[in-house]
Amino acid sequence: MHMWETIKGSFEYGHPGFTGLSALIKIVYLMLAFGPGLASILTWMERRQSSLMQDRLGPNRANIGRFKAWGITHFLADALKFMVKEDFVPVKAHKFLFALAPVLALAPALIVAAIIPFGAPLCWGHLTEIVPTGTCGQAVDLQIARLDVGILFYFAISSLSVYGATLAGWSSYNKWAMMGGLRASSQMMSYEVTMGMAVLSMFLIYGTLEPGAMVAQQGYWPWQWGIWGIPTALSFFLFLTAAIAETKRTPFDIPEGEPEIIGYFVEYSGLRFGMFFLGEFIEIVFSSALMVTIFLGGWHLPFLDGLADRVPNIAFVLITHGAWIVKVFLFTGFQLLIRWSLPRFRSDQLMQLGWQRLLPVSIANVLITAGWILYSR
Amino acid sequence: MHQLHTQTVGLPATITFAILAGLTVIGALFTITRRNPVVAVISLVGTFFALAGVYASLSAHFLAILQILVYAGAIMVLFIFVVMILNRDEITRVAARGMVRRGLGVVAAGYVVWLLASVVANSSATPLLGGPLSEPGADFGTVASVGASLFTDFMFPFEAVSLLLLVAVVGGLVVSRSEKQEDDAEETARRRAQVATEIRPESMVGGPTDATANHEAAHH
Amino acid sequence: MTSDYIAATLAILAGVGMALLLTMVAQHVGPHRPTKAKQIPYEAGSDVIGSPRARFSVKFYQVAIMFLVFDIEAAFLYPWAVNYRKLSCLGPLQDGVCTAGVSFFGLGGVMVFMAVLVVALAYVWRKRAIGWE
Repeated sequence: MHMWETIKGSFEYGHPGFTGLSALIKIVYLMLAFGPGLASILTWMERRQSSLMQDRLGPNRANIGRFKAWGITHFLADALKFMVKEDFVPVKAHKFLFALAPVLALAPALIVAAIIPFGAPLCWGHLTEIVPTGTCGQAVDLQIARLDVGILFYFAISSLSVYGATLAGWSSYNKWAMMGGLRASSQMMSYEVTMGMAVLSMFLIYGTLEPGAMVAQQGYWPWQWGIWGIPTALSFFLFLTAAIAETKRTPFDIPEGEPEIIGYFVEYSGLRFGMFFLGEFIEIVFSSALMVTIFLGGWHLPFLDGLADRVPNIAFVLITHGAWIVKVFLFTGFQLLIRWSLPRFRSDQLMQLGWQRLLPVSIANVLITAGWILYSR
Repeated sequence: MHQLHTQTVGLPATITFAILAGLTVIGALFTITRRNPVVAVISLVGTFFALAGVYASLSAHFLAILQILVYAGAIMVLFIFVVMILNRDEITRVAARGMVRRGLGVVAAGYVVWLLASVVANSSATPLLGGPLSEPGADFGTVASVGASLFTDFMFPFEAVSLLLLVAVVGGLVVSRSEKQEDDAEETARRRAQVATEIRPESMVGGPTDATANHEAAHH
Repeated sequence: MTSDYIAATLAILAGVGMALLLTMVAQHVGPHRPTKAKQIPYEAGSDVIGSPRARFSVKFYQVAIMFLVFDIEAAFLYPWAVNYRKLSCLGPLQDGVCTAGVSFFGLGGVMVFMAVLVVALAYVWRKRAIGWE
């Protein structure tokens, strides 16, 4: 009887059982359902959108019985197809590293979601009451982990995805894959530097690395968002470019360059290839979420101003979460749109852009922002 | 035998430490016993991951994330590149040959282990290790507090680090540059200068449209 | 803080677990019919020429060194950025706002640091280690 009481007690607010369970629910929802879900829909959306941009129809046939919906179920068909394909490992490949590489490509893409805030804080115990902002005693943040180092966690974990590309190239025992792997990893490394420098200006302005605090510092209206201001808009542009290059999306997709050049995952088949593919789209989703958090106000939207004082807490939380989903979705759509709007960069142009154009501009931007903060005292 | 401080630390912390330290040691053992150098580097990455966990459990938050960001994310990538570029499939044995040398190695290693063990065992005698354990403050090890002391008390080492990094870059380039690369660079620079001075539309006879006009006239 | 680390650890385990699960599915679901043609390295139809374990260009190593140096530089700048308002204030911050005068200490110190690293970037640029032709 006493044991049961202790167990029940540990599930109350503030106790390990509660925090563990709430973290698990957030993880399952954001990392395992929302992320891969939106990424899968994006795989279809990209093909449909690019075909419409090119004045052709694209994939619109997949259907479940009579439910067609413009072929949106293509992503299910793709998933099934990947699963039932034969998985062949080249004879001379290093088996352990060959199996490890897709894991190192997919897992970091998922894990970075841990620091993304995706809605206003829930007020545990007062869910159906109206809770004005800042008066909640038992707040449950809609953020998996509120680490002090915040965005650095994102950078640290995504720097591990460099190993995915490098090991994929090395372990395939195929010199084209090897060269593609080296090219891909040097591209990723070059743009990681720019990402760090670009977002430094935002750290100067916010004074914190923690995404939840960043969102709290931004307001409901667009002129209260992080992007407002010249050095911040420049920082946004630099970070966006670097993030697109980091995820190896067009116009920076020379490592995969589908119809033109053999990429580093050439020897991968079936679901292992699917893991690389899905990992890339999940990176798009969560890097968009990160940019929405830092630059576009997170879950804030203009018409939500003052809403916290008028509707019950649970409704407010769901509405802000919906606002966040809409913003992330539009941003990912924007990244998809860029794909067929710009020609692909050559490998050396890419490196030049990263080191000789974006990096000096980012460094200058940091100094300009620092000077501007001093000036606006 | 002096008592271990488990009572003041508590069981969950001890278990966490045991797991993380165990993973670190296992990773380190894997690193030194793998025949394939790439697998050894990957085991080292895992070791650093576990080590970052140990730092985090000691409230050194910024250090933990830097361990992953810089060490596991940048330095180990450099190692992997070097291993791949040098390209030795299976490492040949480079350990010391002969019983005498191996015996000396064991003695040296054993001495170091004995020194470390005696320091830990006699920890209550040293003021640093043997003092009472105190809970670190809430802002110990955070980015803000590391910055606060880095840019006030440790300003000079901070500036000196920039010089160290410059030396690293110059040294790395000097060591790795090959004659072929220098020749290629000069060649491309020369070709670029040549192209810039030679090919200009005005220098073609009559201009570029003249050529097409001649072509069409020839066909009619 | 501890609760956040528990959550972060769970997130890491969940991510890795999902990836491992997909690997298991990849390995065990699906046919296994190895043929000779499937097992030679893919070279877009031609026979295998050369070995993938040949030496590669040293420029990748140079990019990795540059990445390392600039990553460390950024790592030093993150605590500076977080403390910038405090460092550029002559007195302590009142409620997050600087009421005492402006100090150039924060900016000046870092400009020296960055100047040395810009020299490093310029050196590499000049030696053509980063603008690959």
